[in-house]
Amino acid sequence: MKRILPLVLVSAFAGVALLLTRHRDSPSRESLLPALRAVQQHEKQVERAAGRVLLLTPEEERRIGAEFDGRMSRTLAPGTPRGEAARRADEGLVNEVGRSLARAAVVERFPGRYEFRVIHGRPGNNAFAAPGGYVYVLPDLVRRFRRAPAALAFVLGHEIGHVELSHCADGARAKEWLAKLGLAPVGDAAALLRTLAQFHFSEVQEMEADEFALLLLRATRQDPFAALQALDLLDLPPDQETKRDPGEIAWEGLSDYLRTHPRSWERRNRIRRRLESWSRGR
Amino acid sequence: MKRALEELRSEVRALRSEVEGLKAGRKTAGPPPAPKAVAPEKPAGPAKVFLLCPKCEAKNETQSVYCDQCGARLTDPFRAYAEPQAPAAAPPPKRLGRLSAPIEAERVSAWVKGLDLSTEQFIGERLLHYVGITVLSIGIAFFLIWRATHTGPLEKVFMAAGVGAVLVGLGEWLKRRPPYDRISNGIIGGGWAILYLTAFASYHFDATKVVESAGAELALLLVVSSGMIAHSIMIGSRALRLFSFGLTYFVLLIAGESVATPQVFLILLIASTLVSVETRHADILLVSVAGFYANFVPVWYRLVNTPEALRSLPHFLSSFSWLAAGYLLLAFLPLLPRAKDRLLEPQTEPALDAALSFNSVFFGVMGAGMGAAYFHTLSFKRALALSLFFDVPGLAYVFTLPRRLTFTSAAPVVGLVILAGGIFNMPAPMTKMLVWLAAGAVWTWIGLLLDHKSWRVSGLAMALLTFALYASVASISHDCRHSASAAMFYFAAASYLASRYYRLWLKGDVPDWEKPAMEYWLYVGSAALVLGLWGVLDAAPFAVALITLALAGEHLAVFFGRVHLWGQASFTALAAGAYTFFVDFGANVPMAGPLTPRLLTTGCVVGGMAYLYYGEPVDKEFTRAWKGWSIEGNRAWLSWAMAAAAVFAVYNEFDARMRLPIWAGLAFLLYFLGSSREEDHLKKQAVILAAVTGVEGVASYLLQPKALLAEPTTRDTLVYWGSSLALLLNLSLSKDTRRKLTETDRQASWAFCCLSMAMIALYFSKELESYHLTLALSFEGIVALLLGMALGYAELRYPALLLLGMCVFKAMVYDTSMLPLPQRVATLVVLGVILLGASMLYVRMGKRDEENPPPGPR
Repeated sequence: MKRILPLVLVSAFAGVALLLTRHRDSPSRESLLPALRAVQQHEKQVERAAGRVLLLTPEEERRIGAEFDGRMSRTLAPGTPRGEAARRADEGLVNEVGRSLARAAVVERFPGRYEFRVIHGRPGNNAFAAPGGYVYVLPDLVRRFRRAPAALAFVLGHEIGHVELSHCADGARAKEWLAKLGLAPVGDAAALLRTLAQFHFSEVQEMEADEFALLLLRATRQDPFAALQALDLLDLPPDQETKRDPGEIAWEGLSDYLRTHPRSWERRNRIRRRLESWSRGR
Repeated sequence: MKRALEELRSEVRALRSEVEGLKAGRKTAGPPPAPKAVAPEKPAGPAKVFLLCPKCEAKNETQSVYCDQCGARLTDPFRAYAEPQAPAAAPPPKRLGRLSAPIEAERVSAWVKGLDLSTEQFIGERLLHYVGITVLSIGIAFFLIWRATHTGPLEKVFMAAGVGAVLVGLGEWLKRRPPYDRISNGIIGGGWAILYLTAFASYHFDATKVVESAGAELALLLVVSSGMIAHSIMIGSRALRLFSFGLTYFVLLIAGESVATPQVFLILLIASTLVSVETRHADILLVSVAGFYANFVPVWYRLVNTPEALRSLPHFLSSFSWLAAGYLLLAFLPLLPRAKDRLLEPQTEPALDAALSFNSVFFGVMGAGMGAAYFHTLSFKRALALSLFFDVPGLAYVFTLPRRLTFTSAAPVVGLVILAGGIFNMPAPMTKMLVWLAAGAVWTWIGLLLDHKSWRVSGLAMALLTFALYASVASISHDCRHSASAAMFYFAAASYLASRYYRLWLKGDVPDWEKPAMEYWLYVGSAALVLGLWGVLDAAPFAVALITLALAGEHLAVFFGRVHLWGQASFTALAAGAYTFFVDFGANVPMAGPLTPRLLTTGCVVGGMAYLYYGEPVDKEFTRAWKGWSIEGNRAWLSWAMAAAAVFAVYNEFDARMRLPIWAGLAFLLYFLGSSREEDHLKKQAVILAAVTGVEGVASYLLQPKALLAEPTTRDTLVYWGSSLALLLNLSLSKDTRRKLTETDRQASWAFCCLSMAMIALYFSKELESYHLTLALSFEGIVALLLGMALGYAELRYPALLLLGMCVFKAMVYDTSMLPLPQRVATLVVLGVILLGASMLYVRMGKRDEENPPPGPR
């Protein structure tokens, strides 16, 4: 047995290696990101722990968001390059899709209270959220997603996720508390420091928001695979290269700090993993 | 002059002694001055008296007749010298006037001592006339420039030639009139230089153009250079000889294309070589090699600037063949018996060695460079052809020449370098790699068969560079990486073969540097194998392949008795564990059932490490020869790596809730293994993992938004609760008094109890809210308290009391403040009853312990 066992093990392991090689559904690659993400997730949890102490009620958060929304509205002066009809169509589409999402059961912090705005006159395929349930979308993105409402729902759900998971509130929490204590200037500095720190774990927040968006799609009975379509429409193609040089691997890990969003490879894989688990009844 | 200086120096010393004697109030002809003579007013201490040697100035005892240092006779009593042992007081200023003469003499003496007569001689005899001849040449040049505006070319040429001839004649005249013979060679060299430059100028400059035909100019130059060289050889001056040859070659560098043709260079080289052999002056070859290749630089420039349409192999060969002919002439020169007899002598061998080594290197650089520039690439075929220019003479050297000569080693090295360049430019990656390996192997084999070090060393170096080639090829594309990796497998096989038989193939005594060659090949083989696998496999299968290699390596190490292989295998096992931290499993889509690539990979890696840890496939005594690390240390590290890899995989595979029970189960297992095998580091891992699980429970599970946690299924709930409760079973191990319990066991019992209760509390905290949570936690606390009392475990009671305290706090501060009055009353009543009950239980337990004291500390 002592002589046979190593042979059996070596053969079995060789077989497993072969099996893994042929399992092309899920190619693997070397990366510093798995270890890095574990650290980042814990950094985010530390911020969540701080959030349990420095509580921000939904009303306070809403007030912060309303102030931001007011400032945004003032910057959105008249002078729109597009026709009024098209503008109304964009806003109508975004509101229709967004409000259906905001009524879902998983939306607990601001259920049915989300406000969706289209920022006309600004270029770019982007969307963002402010504390209190304010979601902003750029018109180019709306145009691009016009024929894919489920994909648009994923984008809006992603932004709702940032609000529901307190990512937006976390950004304003320290500043708000220091202002309450009469230390508003210190609050600005604290907000700046927090923004710098957030660079390190913002990818984790983005992936959490993606996951929340998937939950919303599922809860509103829309096709969750539209998430992958949304990434396609956002020009985030899958990274096909699995075998990379050590220099590229190191650069990926180092440059991760400078990124706000995870790479397409990582986002797609997380989404695929979640969809796969749902399709298997988990 | 030297004698005069010596006399002056002696006189100065005598005067100084006389002055010192006068100061002491004694006659100078008396015995050596007393100590107080140096400092009459205030003697600083007893003085010691010496006699200075007139020749070497060494100090001698006053009784000595001959110098102890050089043996010269100490005749002059005035040279006695008194040296006080303590510093003497400074002389009074009023006596300075009297002492000025000896002080001046002392200064003169110091100046004379500082003179370096040989330097002076060099300046006077050599430098002055070098400078003189240079100044004269410049003067003549200016004169010619001045005259150039006033006279015709013929007059200028004759004038310059006349100056040159006069200088040569003057040099010859001075040669017979010593001491001026020392400057004669310089004058002769200058004269010949003027003659040669005049011959050059007579064709190349309009102002002095008297020769119209290039052939006549060439003949003129050859005649003058022949005269110059012949004259220098007759004189027998090395400097003049090298100058003559250098001038002959390097003036051609600035000559026109019609004069400076490759044929002329070759003729010159042949002539130089003949002269060198016949006169037994190998240094001529050094200058000739430098001059020959320098002359080919303009040829190269012209060749690479040939228009594309005119480029062809015959056109290239029309220039290259002359270069090659010159190289071959010199390369085969030492194989000719006459040249070998005349130049391979102790006096001439270094110059010959240097000349032929330069010949190889220059030809290699120029030949390969010309080809690469002309054809835009160094193709394999051309590189092979060029390499043969070195390899054939190199092989001939092995059989005919002593191996100490550098050029016999340079030839195969240069040949291989050129061949490597050609291989590097091959298009097909697989072929490129294989030919590269074959070239290295051929060189190594020739080195082994012919027992020649340089062939073997270059082959070994090429083998090492295979890794750099792999990096270069693999980075081109995915397919290239695969091809290069496949070639690495062949390389690995060949290296393992060499590692087995290299020592046997070596002939004679193995040199020190080559003794570890077998291990060298073993490491190269393993590195090639790992690199090849890395190239063809994705990260996950590569991790499994690594642990497979480690497993096989340990067994093969025992089978072949190669402890270095064991070292590699044990390191690879650890590396496989560490590598799992850097594998991104992508979507990690399950392969079968719940089995994902991550689980399968980690299972294999951890399983392999567990086999090495528990299976003990290697005899410990066998590994003692390995100096890198001990097997015990390796196995301990292996156990830590195993646990870490498993924990990390679970972290990534499961959500914040489900990773807790699995970690807890792993901690349970580790503690069980540690207890049964009595290995403390396993128990420590268990305790650390239990602590990590508790922290992670709060950090990830409790704080994680509920939306991001998967809805727990019945199976999940069962696993969670089962694992939480199973932790308590560990108490039976950690408190088993039949075993020798350690501090780690005590820590483990606390860690497991706390973790068990924490996990249950976390579950309640996550799944329940408000007063339901308070009640559930209170219930948990009571049960734990009862259990702790029943079993007598303080590890259960203390956390239970803490939990109850938290419940009271929560109920008082949060729950009751938000409840309607009836529920508030009910909650407080229930809590009060629970706490009272707990208190009563404590009283009862205390009474029981008083009646039946427990057997030992629990």
